[in-house]
Amino acid sequence: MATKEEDLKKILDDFESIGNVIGSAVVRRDGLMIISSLPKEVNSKAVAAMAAAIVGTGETASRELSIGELSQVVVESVSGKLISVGAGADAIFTALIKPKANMGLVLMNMERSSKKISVVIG
Amino acid sequence: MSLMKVPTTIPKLDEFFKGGIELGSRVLIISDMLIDKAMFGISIMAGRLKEGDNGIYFINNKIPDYIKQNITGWEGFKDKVSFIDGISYSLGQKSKEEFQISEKTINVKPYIKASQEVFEKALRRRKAYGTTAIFDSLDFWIGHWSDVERFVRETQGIIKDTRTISYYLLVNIGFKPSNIQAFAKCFDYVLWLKAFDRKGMVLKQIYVHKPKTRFAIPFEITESGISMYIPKILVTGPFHAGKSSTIRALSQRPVSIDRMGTTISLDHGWVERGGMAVDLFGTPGQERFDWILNMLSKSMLGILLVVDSTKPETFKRAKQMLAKIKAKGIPVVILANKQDLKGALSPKNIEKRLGFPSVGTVAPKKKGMDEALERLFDEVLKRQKWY
Repeated sequence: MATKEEDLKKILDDFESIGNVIGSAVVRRDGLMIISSLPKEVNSKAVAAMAAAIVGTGETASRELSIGELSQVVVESVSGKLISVGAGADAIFTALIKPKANMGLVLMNMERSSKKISVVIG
Repeated sequence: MSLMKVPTTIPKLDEFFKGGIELGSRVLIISDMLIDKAMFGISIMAGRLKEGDNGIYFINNKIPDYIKQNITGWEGFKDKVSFIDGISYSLGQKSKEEFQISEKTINVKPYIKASQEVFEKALRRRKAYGTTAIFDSLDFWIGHWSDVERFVRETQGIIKDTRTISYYLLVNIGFKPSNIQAFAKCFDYVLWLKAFDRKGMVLKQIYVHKPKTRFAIPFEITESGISMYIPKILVTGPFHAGKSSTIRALSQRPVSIDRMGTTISLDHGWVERGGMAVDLFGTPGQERFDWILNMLSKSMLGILLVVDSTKPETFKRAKQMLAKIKAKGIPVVILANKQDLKGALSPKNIEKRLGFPSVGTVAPKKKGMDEALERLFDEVLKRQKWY
């Protein structure tokens, strides 16, 4: 019997196989970590809290501005991008990718993965 | 005459058992499937080895090397631990261990008998007093419970003589309370490791089943062993009360998102010490950030409410914040901060005004911090249904 953790791990592994991904994580919308494959030196618990705050801020801003539902939040920095998308009502899927990654490919796969994640978390 | 008590090294549990459990005790640990019971056993073993115990680890569901890899600082304890290899023979492999069971696991009855002989031999070999034995696991034996009972009964003498505490691990495959009642008969203590899946997060607690109690300890297995763990404590309070300083004072790796001297998004901190672990989430204090307050307060299990003791006019806002985050029923401890300033109200006074237990603190000097956290842990422990 595969546990939820194993199912989620597999979804992250599948996603990361597209290449140019440094790490990815599933966090709860309230800021708690569910599962992470981010590098060891990253303070992943803090990243979980921040990703939730970033997505929460993005959603609140979208609502205030009446610009429809939030698609994703991208934090674009010199040596990488942090992309976060909603994964169902309770979770967020967040990925740290290299600058040279193909954004279209990444976003398409993130959408696919986040759907799977929302099914697993239920 | 009852034997001396020794700590289990599981935080809070020893406090509850008034020092630990008696040498010669037999402890059944029933574990829900979502919990890695081997890691739990290893953590107890590692904790006891550091106290100077010998160790015996019986294993019949994994190869002994798996356990060795997970005992922290294993190299240092090499001569103190004997493994009873209960699996290699069944896999048709040669065992590297001092002790092994030369019987196949599927022949349950003879296997249990052989296990008893080898277990007794191993105990006798460890001449020095004070041994922690982990039996990992009883899972395959569940259909032959009368044999298990005999095993436990017949090894009781030698366990007492050698001052051993033995822990028997058993996975919960959906036992009924009546099953557990029956299992409990031949053991001195029964701990039940319960797991609760909450939207992808597994919350774990140790539930003391024998002696009969409703005592439960939330826990997590971390690199430093078994810790009492609370996944979310909110640190909140009015503007400029010292929330971020509190998180900085308490945590190992604090992260703060602040601009122009005020928190605009959140603070996060991870505290682990003295057998307690907790995630702290700090909120901004100003009303314009109240929507963040709502987001962060979801699924919190306790609140540290930080107030500036010199500014009673802000207490109204503190009360309003508690109302906003629907804190009803959730344990609150007040940090009566800035006690070093002139005109600070006493914690007692603030307790009276706000109606929650208060601890006097000076966040930048780390004064009163541990006391406040411990107070909150106790409050959280008191609630039976904490998740």
